[in-house]
Amino acid sequence: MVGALVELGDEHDDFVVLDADLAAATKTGKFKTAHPERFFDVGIAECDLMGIAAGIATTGHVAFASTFAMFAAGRAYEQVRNSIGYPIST
Amino acid sequence: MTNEELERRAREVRKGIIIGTHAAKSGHPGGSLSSADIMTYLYFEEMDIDPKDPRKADRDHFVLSKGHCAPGLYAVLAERGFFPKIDLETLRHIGSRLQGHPNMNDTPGVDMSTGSLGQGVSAAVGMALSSKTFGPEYRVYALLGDGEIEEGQVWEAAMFAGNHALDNLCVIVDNNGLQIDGTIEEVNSAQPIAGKFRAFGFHVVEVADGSDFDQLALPSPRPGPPRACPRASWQDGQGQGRLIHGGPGRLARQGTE
Repeated sequence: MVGALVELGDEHDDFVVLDADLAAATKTGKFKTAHPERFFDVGIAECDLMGIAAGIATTGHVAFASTFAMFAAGRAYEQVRNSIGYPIST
Repeated sequence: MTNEELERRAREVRKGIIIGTHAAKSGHPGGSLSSADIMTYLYFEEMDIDPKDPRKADRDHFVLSKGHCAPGLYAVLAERGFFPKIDLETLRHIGSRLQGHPNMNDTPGVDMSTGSLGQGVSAAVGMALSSKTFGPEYRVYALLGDGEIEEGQVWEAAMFAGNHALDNLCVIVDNNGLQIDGTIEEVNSAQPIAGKFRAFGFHVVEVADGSDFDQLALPSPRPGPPRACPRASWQDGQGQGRLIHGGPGRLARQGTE
């Protein structure tokens, strides 16, 4: 999957990848190495991770937000629901 | 725009808030009224926007992070010409595009769907980051409540904004002193607000009277840290009634403390 992200990043320059201090485990660090200007680590802050991704999406760009499933589905559930699920990208 | 004209517009915005919340028999008139002047200032003086082209890519963005104050946002958007003022009477009605909380899908001029407190400021950070990464250049304004900033996510967002020196971001805190269960001091105050934002790397501008348009004139954008503008929107001891959370009928009169 991460190999695909790096390849996508080679071909397209209109998206970013975000992580929450798990870039080594999720392997998004490979994207960071390949495209550091389009990689952002928000630190150990999953709610902010999803919120920032939502804000980027409103501007018409894709944001890949990466973290462990338990945090994405559990800790940041409501941010995914309200900030990402309801709005429609412009 | 002269201060007199801004004051006239702000009065119209206040009227719009009362019209909307009265028609709905619901809503949040208190926090809407306490932020009427700052939103009037932003939409009539500060922000580069075009009501005829609400999704213009290089427009300045506004996120009402304290989304329950949607009646105020709707009133200022209508006053600015994004949609007819008559629509304010449909607030919270079934089928209306003016929901109880801002919905960017349906309402012209709404840049982010908000309402769950603490989330809007992260979206504002994402918008500012997008401008820095992809362009075009624009500024992002986020309006937060002083109760809202009890949410931890606010400080996650502030940390990121400070560390990334997002100088195109302006966070405004409406320091009206009230939240649902009482005053912010009675519940769990986030004071000192200014000191906290400074510690997170913000350039802080404190405004003693948030209804004074001279004081609301924000510093010109310039390279540097993100800006935070905690503002006192309500003065104690002036004999004013306070509109608190709930229906428009719940006007609570509080004496000098």
